[in-house]
Amino acid sequence: MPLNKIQYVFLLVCFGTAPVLTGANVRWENQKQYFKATATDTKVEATFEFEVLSDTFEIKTIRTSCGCTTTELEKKIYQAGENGKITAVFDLGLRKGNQKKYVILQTNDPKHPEIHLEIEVDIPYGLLIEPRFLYWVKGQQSYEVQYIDLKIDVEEVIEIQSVSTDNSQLTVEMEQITPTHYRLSVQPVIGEGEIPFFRSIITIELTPDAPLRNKKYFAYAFMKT
Amino acid sequence: MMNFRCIGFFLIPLVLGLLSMAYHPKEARWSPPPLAPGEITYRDAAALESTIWVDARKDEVFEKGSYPEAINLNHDNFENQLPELLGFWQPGDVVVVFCDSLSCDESHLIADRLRGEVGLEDVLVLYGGWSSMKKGLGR
Repeated sequence: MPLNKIQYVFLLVCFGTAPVLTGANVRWENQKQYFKATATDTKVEATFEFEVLSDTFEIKTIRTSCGCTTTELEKKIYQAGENGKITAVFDLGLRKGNQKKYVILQTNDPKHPEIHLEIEVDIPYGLLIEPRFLYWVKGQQSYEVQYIDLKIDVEEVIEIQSVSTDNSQLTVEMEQITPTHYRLSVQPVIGEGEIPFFRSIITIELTPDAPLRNKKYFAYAFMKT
Repeated sequence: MMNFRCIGFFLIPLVLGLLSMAYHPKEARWSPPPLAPGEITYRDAAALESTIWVDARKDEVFEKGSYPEAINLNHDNFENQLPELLGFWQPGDVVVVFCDSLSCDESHLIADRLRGEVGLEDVLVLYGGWSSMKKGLGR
């Protein structure tokens, strides 16, 4: 069945716009990258490499999910056959635990107008204190003992030099469970007629040669109503 | 005859498209996505009896304006800011953490630290963050 003019125009529009809608074909080496930071790392650098297989690829904007991550881009427009890379630097600051940061690209690719590049980092605590917050309800005749676990989550040898409180109404005793696990027994001892403390800080201090950025750690004890 | 064929050529895909839009099993609905575990909407959080609002954004952003009575607690200053939150907190309080909008993840990270490291039990993340709060406050 021969097509009439209108049908020809319709087909022309359909097939004519197809290449535009397809956009550039880009192959990414690794859109998600995982890192395991050491206790002394201050930043993590991730390089996202790509290859433009066909058409022109334009990165219109580049932003990050956090002010702690900066990016570096060589140029914005890449022709077919060109390779490119985006370097992202995540400043770890005082962050701990599992962290995910994103680099978000706006592109000219209608199929993938927004591309998310992911940096996942596990940052060791060095000394993990759980929990860091204890509380007792005011007005008891005696206050029960509560416990804080101190766990070392790095391979390096870490030694605890001292554990102290800033308040004589709070007693703290430390025992070693395993070479990387200590337990603090914490108990308020309020003398008769004494006004209980509102807040007390427990300070855990490591030896000066401990291979960690932080040498002092804190936990908090409160009296609540 | 030719006219009917022309009309049919355009009309049939149009009708099929409309039918698909109306009855497709994976039809997109104009409702907010379901909340992830540990998230709460602003409307529900504002209705709680005792809520502590925690703003997980950076100090300089917090200082430009935040929710009334919100406490600032972010990664950069976590150690210095944590005691203030713990001082305010009372047994039974629900801590609701927020950051800028849906696209930020700081509120989730701070909430995780409060639950795991600090040991607070009732910690939720505000769905939509500060953007949803501003709408709620009519700003």
